[in-house]
Amino acid sequence: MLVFFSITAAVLDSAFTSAAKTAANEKMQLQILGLISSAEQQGHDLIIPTYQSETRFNEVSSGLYGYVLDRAGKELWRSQSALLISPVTARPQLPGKKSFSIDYTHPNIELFVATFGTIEESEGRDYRYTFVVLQDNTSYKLSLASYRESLWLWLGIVALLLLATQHILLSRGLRPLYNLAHHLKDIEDGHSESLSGNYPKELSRLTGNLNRLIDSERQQRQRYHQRLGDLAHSLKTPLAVISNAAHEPTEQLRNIVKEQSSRMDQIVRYQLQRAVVSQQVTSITKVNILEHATQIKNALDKVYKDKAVVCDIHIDKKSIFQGDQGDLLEMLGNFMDNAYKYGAGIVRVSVNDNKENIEFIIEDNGSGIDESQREKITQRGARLDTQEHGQGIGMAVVVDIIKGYNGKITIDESELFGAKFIASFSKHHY
Amino acid sequence: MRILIVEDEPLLLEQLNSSLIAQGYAVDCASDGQEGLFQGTEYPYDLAIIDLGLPKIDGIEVIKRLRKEGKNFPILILTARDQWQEKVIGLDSGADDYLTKPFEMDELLARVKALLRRSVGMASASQKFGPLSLDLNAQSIGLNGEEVDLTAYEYKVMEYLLTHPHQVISKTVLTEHIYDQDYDRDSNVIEVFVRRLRLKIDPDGTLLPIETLRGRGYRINPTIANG
Repeated sequence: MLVFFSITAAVLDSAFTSAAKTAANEKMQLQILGLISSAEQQGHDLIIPTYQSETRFNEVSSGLYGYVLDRAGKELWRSQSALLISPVTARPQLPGKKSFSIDYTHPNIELFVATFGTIEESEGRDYRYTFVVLQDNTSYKLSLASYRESLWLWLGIVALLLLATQHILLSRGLRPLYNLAHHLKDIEDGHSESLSGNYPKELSRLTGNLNRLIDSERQQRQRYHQRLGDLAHSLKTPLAVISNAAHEPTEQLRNIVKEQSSRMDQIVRYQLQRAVVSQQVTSITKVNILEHATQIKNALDKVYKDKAVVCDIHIDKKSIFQGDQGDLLEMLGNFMDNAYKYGAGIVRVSVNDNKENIEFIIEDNGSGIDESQREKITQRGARLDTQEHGQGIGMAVVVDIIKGYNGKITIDESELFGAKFIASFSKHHY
Repeated sequence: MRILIVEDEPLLLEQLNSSLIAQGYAVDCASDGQEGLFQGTEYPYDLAIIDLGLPKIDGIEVIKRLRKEGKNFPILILTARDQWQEKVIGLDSGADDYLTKPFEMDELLARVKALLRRSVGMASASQKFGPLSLDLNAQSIGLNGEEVDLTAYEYKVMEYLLTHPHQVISKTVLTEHIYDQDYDRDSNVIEVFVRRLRLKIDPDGTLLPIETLRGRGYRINPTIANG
């Protein structure tokens, strides 16, 4: 703003100075014309009345001085007022030419100098003269000073008004942001749980997203807390078994340590997996299903190379899973790994995708899953330390992921005569 | 068979080392990615076991660089992370199988055997070569259904020759694959092993299971190799 007003002031000042000088020049040229009209060529002589109609030419040191120079620049006449001042800087002009300048050569005084070249004719001869008018520019300087004073005054007032307006507009415009910062501080300090209050629609999306983020962070923290608790409690049972087995004979002790350490490993893996999977859809990205299913197929083809599993993938290349990439990989990875492992060499992975739902179907030609076991597998959050020996953690994690997306898991018998896992999600799950 | 282990946990490295040596493998160890990459590039291995979380160069990068160098021996990755994302990245970078820590040593040995068997194109752990049979799991050579009494190194030589049928194997290659890098090698020892193998497997001199190609090396008799 300072730069803007400085430039504005400089431009206005320059325009005013220029206009004032032009006005002074025009006025002095008129005074020159007055002198010319009063002059008369008589023979070789130019006769000019001593007293001019412009009275300031008649008063000594009036501030307005008139002169006539011949073609060589020699002074021929000067007005009554110009007894003490000479036209030091004035030069003879060609006929019809005029000039305007400032004479700084006089002490304590600055003078505007206007000249005009002319020709007088007498008895068939031309006589060239230059009429010069000097004018004390004190009044000009005073008016310039006064102009500058009022210019800066008004510019200052305008600047203050603008600043005040800007401040008012900004503080009104930014108030929602200040409120937002204030509310965030409240949340940070634990005084509030989410961003409340009315925000303008430009910010409501941001506040909505922030609320979701805060909420998911809080849930994640709670989840970690809960998982840590679960983990600690689940480990206590095998630890108790080991500590009580200290007096057992070596062979039995070895078996107990092996069995319990395997159980502890399962517990740690399960709780780690459960802590890592999203549980609730927080990052909604579009993940290409075919691409990821193919990645897993390639990986499993390597691992189960000996089994020479034929895996058919029936997934449209445009099918998209809206969720976390890691969750999709974990779900498909575990489903497909089981199908490769327990199937008898044929695996089919398909996706039914419509406007409302998306359905993942993983089938194999193994011995299938007994009906009595199906419900048990699809239950969520069964504590691992209560699970039967040998039950894998993969499916438990898959169930957690599916439920986290409000999806549904069903187990059926496949046309391939093995197990058929169906995970279905509503597309409005988030 | 010679195996490289790249693992930064000294205790686990030692356990792996001693278990694999006990199984008759020649084993070299590296405790960081840089050393592992150097050894994997410099020496001829039949298999590598690589931990993913390694100092200096991580396991994935080691595998990628080994594959880029044209090393196509099977690689088994060890990972502490149990997520599919990690497994897919590992297998995608060029590994052939993975094992999640903690693991049972028996499980690891089974995977190692399966990978080695697959890498030499054997469909199962035991295979017949005419009157001879090779059982990788039992680490035994049979002649007309009867096990031949061999020392560990004699078995190693015969195993290497039988798992690379139709190939001429030089004494240097045999030495490199049955001994680890710290062993003081003497290629004359191979000649001794081959002579003893011939005596034990073919005392009458009728079968001629191992051919000597002068100045080049040894080869399993093509009649036997073709079954």
